Amino acid sequence: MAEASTSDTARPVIARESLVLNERPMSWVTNRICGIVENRQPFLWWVLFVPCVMLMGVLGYCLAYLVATGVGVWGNNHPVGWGWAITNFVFWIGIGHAGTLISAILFLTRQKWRTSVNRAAEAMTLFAVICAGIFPAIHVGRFWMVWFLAPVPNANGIWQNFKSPLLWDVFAVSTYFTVSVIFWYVGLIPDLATLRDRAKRGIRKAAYGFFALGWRGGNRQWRHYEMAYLLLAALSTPLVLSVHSVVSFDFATSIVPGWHTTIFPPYFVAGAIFGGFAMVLTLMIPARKIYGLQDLITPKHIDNMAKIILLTGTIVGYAYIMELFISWYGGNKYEQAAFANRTGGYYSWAYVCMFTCNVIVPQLFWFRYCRHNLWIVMAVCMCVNAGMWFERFVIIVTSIAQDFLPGAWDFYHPSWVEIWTFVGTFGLFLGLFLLFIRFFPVIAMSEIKGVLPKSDPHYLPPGTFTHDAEGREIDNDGEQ
Amino acid sequence: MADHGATLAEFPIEGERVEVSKFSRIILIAAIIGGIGIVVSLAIFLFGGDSQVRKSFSYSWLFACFYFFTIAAGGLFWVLLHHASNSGWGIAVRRIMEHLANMLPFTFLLLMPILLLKTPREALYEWMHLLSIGEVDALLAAKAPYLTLGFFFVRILFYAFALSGIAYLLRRWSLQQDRTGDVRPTFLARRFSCGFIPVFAISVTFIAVDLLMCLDYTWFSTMWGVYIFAGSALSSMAVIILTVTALRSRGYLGKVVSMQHYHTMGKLMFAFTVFWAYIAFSQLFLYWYAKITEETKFYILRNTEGWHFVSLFLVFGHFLVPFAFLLRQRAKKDVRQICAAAVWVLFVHMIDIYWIVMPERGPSITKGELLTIPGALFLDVIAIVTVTAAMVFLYLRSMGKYSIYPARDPRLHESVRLIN
Repeated sequence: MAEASTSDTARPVIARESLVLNERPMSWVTNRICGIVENRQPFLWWVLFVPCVMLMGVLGYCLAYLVATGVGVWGNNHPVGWGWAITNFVFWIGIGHAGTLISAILFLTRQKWRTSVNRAAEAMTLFAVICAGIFPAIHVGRFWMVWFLAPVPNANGIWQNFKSPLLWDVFAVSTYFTVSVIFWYVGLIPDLATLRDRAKRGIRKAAYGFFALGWRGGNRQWRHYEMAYLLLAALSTPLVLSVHSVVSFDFATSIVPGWHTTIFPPYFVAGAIFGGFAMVLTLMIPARKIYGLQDLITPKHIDNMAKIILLTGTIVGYAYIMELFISWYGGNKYEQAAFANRTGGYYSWAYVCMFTCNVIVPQLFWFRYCRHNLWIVMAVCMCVNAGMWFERFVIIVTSIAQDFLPGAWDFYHPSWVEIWTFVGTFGLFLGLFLLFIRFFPVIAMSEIKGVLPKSDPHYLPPGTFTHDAEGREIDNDGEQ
Repeated sequence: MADHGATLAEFPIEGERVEVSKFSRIILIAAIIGGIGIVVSLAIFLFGGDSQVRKSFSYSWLFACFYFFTIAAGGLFWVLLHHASNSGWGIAVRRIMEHLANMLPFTFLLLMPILLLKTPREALYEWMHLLSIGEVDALLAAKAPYLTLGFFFVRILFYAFALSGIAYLLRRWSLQQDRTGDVRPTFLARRFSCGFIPVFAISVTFIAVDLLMCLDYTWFSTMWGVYIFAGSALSSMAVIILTVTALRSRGYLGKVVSMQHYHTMGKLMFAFTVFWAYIAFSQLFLYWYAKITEETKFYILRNTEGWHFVSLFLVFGHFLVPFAFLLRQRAKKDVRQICAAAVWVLFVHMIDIYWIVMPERGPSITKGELLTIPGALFLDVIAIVTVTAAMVFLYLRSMGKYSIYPARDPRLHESVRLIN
């Protein structure tokens, strides 16, 4: 059993597990995390970064080729007007959910374990949203006209269709991105000040000093800061729900069989959190090993995240089953045909991949052994990453490839441009994440110090004695 | 505040036992009203023949019983969530949640007359009537594997035993710990709660489908189970808040429950107010936007004539008013304000269930001639008063049997020192 329990059977006490292992002092936390930024990066960092830059180049080439030639270079055809581009958009937007969930919702629900992973997850959120933003921008074809997405007064008097969920998506995603950037940056300020104070040379000191906004760590500053952070958390929480709900409206407001179902908004949100947490673990498990952060990102943290993956994966499974049940129960022939095509048609392999990766494989996390074996955790997270991509592919492509008119059915195959654009976004995503590790504190130092036992006003240093509730003398380890 | 002052030494190892006699007046009044009400109701059910009163009263009874089912199921949800998430904050109020969850068998028992008697059952569920007279249309035939009387009863039995069994087991383990002080029941409850959650989710979803959505067997929504669950968690939290306050006003839980607990419970009530609105809005919005006849019929009926005002009332009463009110920290930390909010939440949740059930009554019973049955409101009042009295009677009596908080729970110290 993980928790320690005392032998007092009259009134047992189960202690909470420590969030930082080996009783690390505050100075160790500072040195370890600042050290990542201040010291030379390990060779492995370069081994990862160089291919990422190359993939960014591939991405740039594919985008340039697309813009220069036209969207005809994609595999889209008549019924399948939305292929990989929108699949990838929804995939990346989903990944961009865990960060703000960890930061905002877990903050509001007083989940202290968030402190070890929130910074990296927020950064990941931003990079994922950047990757996501590329696709709607380029899928319009005439990239230079993309400013038409914004409701700007123009000479032709052309306005957007405000009744279209696609336009709401523009607002929802840009609001989410803006608030996420602010939230991330506000959280960074005390840590940037720490880096500034430790910096010896000119540019580094000046840069961190500029972005630390004159932070001195005084009482008044902390009071204002914490209030601002709380308010931002409260503002971000509805945004976490709204973004993916609006993304789901892109599909669910239509009458396309397979898209039009009421459970889409919460199902998309649950799926996004699911995919987001899987990506956080995919990035953080290697990072904690490479940079020696095992005492800060403990098995307990990984265990908690694995449980969230199990929970949200099962919610997603519930939605799949409800969709199937209601499509049958509703008695609508078109809905029934759409789901028959999904589960047994030409794209059924994608449905099987989706269901296996998202619902069946995460059930391994029922077992403590699987949540604590990092290889298994990584393998499950990889399955979830793939499964969530397949989910979007299944929803988008299978529904429109075979819609109402059998004469108009067609099959969709991605072209090499689409494939390499998607692969390129992974380069961008990972490259930005590696740069983030290089220049910013990867774990929120100030927050993690706040959850150390020493931060408790009632903390007593080792060797001192106090009295317990029954008046017996105990030392501060709880031993009598 | 309990956070600094309270130490475990202040809490007797045997906990606090509520003297039910302190509530004797309420219990007596509830018993009298409930007793008379049940006699009257049974008289209508047993001797009502084929009358419109009997049929109308079936709807009233379903509304009243399902309202209390949602509250009791919500109580079970909070117990499950508490164990599964290994929470510490709510140990002080967990026994109250457990008592609430253990009202579930009674709600199923009360549902029996309308499910077992043929005329009330067929007045409620047109598909059963069509099956019994053999007029099965194509749509009903397509749904036949699911909508058959035998399978319906198998499902109801499953929900009743699964939900009541889970509630019973979780309270039993908790009481076992009260006696022995062993830590094992805590681990046992946590482990099993995780496994029980899927059973709970499936049961609540499909009972909502079977008893409410099937009032019109042609209508459907994938969100339906989540919608019922949202109102259920919300209203049960309101009952927990009111119970805690009632007990405190009679001198119990004084040191165990602090304003911090009220604040936390208030935040959860606020969160589920928003969640309910999110689900309700999404369901309405997606059907309104797509405008497919067989889907919009649910809302068209509820936007016709007087029902339109009830629908509008839900928008304001179930969401905007409690949202604005509970947004303030003060409202969650002031006992009078939060109790006022809890009473309001229970009221609007009742209207919500009423709004789900009743618009189906007039068109069903009068074959589409009338939207509402004249005088049926009187029957609704009889039903809700009777079931409320019965539930209050049973709930308050269950309070006295055991300690009102789990006195030897290994996380009690965390709960009494809760700081938000």
